[in-house]
Amino acid sequence: MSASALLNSNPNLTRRSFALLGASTLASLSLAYLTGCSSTGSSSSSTSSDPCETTFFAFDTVITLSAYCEQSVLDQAQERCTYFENIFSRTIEGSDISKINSAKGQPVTVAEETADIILKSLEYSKETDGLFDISIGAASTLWDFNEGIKPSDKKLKEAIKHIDYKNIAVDGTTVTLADPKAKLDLGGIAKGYIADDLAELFKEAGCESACLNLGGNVYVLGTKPDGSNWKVGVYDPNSDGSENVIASCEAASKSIVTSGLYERNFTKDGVMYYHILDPKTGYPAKTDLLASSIYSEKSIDGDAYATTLFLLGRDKALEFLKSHPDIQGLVVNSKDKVSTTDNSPFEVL
Amino acid sequence: MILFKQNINPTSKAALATMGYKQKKNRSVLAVAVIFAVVVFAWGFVLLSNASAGTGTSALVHDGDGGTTKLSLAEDTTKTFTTSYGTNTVVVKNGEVRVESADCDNQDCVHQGTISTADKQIICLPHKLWIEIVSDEGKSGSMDTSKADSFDASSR
Repeated sequence: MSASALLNSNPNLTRRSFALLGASTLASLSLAYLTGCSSTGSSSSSTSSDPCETTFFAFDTVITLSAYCEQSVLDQAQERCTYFENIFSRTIEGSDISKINSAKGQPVTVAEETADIILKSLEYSKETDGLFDISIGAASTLWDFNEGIKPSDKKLKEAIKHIDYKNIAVDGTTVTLADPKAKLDLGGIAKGYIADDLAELFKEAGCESACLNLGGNVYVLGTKPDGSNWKVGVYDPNSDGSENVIASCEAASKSIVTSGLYERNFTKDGVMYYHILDPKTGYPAKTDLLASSIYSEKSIDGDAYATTLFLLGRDKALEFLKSHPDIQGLVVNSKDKVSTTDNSPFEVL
Repeated sequence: MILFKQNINPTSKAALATMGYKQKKNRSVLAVAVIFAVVVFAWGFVLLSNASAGTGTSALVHDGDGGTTKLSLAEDTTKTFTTSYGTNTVVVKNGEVRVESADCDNQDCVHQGTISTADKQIICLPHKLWIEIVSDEGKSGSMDTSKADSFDASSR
């Protein structure tokens, strides 16, 4: 508008501006409705019943977040995942874990969440008598399941001397490894911890219905908007290409974590090496289980226990599950026999 | 412009102001009309494309450089994606899509076989490339008949 028009301060100008502003606002709102995914309680048009979805790579896997709430909440969740990757990753320079691992026993100040996840890991270590142990890092850092690198027996023998969760001390946000050669690896617990954190984030944002899938580590928040349970399929994690469904279950505000022995593996000189390592030997765990799936309130339980079950073997695994009535489980042995806990929500297919 | 205003005598000023007012009114009417037309067009486009898409589905290939390429499953096609992470050759044939070849070490993406329904994905982790199926009229979950395809999520 020209300066003279402004100077005139014509009341008609105000009406025009209002009309333009009004039209633009209505236009953008309606376009947003058209193109945006929705929150619950919207009108009956078909576009409003679709959840918002976002898929991205993080923690060396694919994350798919699907929620009946504003897209901005999913964007926040994705940012939170980036935040976690930058503190929990063993390989990202400057992450809390890489700082701890290169501190040679000196105390390291870390983020609250890092201190929290380490403290929680120690609980699982105590409970499983060291079968679950994040200081497995001394051995796991020597293997590379993407490139197919196997460490020498000599290196592993030396490495296992430095695997002992009792060397890990957490004081507030300070972490100290009593053994300067010890190394931490959060691979066996991070996704579960993060899934629980994201679930809280969605809840706090007022989201009542969401499905979070962190590379197969699934957490379903609430029920679906129509009140029905989420249907989660348990797929054979070891299947190479073909989609084998082992079981299905219905869930609302629950976590389902499935783990496979061969999920990450490589073959060298005719021997297959897989990623679930025994903290006592540094080698892939000798076990008669091929797959396990845990149904629980908290995803961190599912993640930590799923690894433990392999190390226990089938019979002890089922006993372990029995002694934890708050979780339900499914295990598949090397003969493809599927067993579940009594009254489990898994429907074996 | 201030000078211009000061030099005009009151009668002409009124006339000019009126003319100016009319011009501005016309412009703003035009602006509102354009905005209205854009919105109607956008709605019309979306509604029409939803209606006519029917069971049309496409494969969406997300590559490691952040690009997204849509390949209609109705047309057989071969497309190679090369990013700083590596190369994948994607083939659409007979309504299905698969990764025919890739230069990644583990070849997982090649072994994942073909997909053609909205709940499936093919993922090449080392190359940060993944393929999903999108139905042009929204999620196809309700059209699937097999139990396995009607899951909301897969835990694996």
